[in-house]
Amino acid sequence: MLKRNDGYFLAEAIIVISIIATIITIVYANCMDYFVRQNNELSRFNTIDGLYCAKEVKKYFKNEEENFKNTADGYVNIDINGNDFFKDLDIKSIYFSDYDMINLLSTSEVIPSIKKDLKNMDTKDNKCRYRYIVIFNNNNYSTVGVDCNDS
Amino acid sequence: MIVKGNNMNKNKGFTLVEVVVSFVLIIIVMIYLIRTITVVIDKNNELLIMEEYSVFEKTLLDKIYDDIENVDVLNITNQGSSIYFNEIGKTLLLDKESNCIIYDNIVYELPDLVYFSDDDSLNSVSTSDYFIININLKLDNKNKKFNIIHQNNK
Repeated sequence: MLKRNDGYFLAEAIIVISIIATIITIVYANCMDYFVRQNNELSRFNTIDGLYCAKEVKKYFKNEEENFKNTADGYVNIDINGNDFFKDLDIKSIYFSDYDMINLLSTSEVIPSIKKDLKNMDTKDNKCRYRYIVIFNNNNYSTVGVDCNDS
Repeated sequence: MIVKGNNMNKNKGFTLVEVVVSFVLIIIVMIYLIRTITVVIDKNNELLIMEEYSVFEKTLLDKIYDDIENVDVLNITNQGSSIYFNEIGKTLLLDKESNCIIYDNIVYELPDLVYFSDDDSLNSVSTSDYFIININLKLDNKNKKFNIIHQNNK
């Protein structure tokens, strides 16, 4: 009668498992690239420099805020053409919007990549009523709240 | 009479072709693995450098803005590699040799792999209403800059 050898040597099993584990590691590491790209998108939002710029924008428009709040559209695309201050700060556009940005994001005003990020922002913690959205020439962007209730 | 089974040759081991093919496959997998590990390490280093740079930028800007934010009217004098804040009597100096920024006699060393740009690491724009100071750096061969902004109260 033939002796039947079912199963595998231990060495064979270890080698096969280690090769499969290696291939899985390579696939995972390459997929990580996708997640790192998402992190890079987040690194465009509210950079330290951008935040300080946004604060200065808020200070600049302090006297005009009441006019902005009276808009019926829920947002204002502030005209900064010909303004050297914003040109020197490399600012492309500034929006004054309701805090939840629903009206602004329903238009095609904002470029798609930033619009996508803004849509993902958590606006439930509604301590502020309005916000400025400052978009720079390098497509970094920052937001700063207006009429914020700290209590 | 032929009896099947008891006198069959037992063939243990591998053929040469099997061994060569296995080694080649393993070497190919190892090459890709090493390449992937190198890429992961590089990306991790890049993130660490960005993090260090962010901490440096925040520390310096917080200190400067603490001093200038509540000053109604502030003017600056650009002295080439340094800026003098006239009304508060403080100086911002870019020390390229030591790769650091000195503000109010406190030394802020640039993090690893961060250097001043070769041309125009310090620029300023000054009007009666505002000034903007640009500091241009190179982070791992990418251009980075940050601004110090002050608006005079009207």
